[in-house]
Amino acid sequence: MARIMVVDDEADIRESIKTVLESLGHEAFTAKDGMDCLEKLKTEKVDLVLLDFFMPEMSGREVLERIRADPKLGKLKVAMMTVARMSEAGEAAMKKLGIVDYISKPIDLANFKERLRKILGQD
Amino acid sequence: MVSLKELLGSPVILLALSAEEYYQNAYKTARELQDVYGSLCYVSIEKPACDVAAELKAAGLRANTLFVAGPAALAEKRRKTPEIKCSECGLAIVDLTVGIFGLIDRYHPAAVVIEPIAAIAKHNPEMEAAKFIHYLANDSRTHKRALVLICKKSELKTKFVKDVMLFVDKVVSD
Repeated sequence: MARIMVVDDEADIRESIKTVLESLGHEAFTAKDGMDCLEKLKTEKVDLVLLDFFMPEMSGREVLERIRADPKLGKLKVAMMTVARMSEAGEAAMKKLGIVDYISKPIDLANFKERLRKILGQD
Repeated sequence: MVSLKELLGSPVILLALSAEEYYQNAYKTARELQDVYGSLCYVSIEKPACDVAAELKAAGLRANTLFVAGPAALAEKRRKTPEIKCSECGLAIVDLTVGIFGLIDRYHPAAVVIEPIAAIAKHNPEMEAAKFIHYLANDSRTHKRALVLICKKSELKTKFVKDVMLFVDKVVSD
């Protein structure tokens, strides 16, 4: 079981992903935007952040940069959950920032479970 | 000045230009792209479409394969170049979409230039502006249409342009 934070500005999406994660036996938290995520990470210990890319005020890229800039969170696993298709150059830039995976939205349950297993090293 | 070779071969490019001679270099790039691709849609965010159409013509672009979208000008300044197809549109994302795709769907330009992209985020929420650019980039790849997004070099470190960089195939700077 892992502790996973879902960051998405759309309440329906984050709650449905939280429900899926809980059904898989994980402990799930939610954050409504990048600032909420960064605030909660100060107190919540999590194993993985599932981060939306398109969010108001602070994009997923910026949240990721801030996570990486924090020495306490430097090694935190972050996966980007997005409808956005990055270019190869964009993916390379995100990998440099330590993205562990991309998860396409809307979520395909079978694929989501598989990727989550890989990310969490449960193979 | 950027060599044309750097702008070819990648479907979606972010071109960063110095503030000095910004328009001169943007128009020169547009002329070179029109020479290569044949037809070009030029989207101006800061200058009225009809002013830009006249300036592009003066910069040597061919009127018959040039399509310009941008804000409307004051009435007395309108229609300096009636031979160039212009789409005067607002700067809200929905208006830009209608203005740009109105030209794309009707005239099928082989390349699209938009400048300066950071101005889109001045008139719209950044997230919406980024989604719009993301959509344009994907649509350009799908339809094998070149897309050159121009920004000012000083804007390369803005949040919006840094997000846009993730959707482009190459960043080129003069």
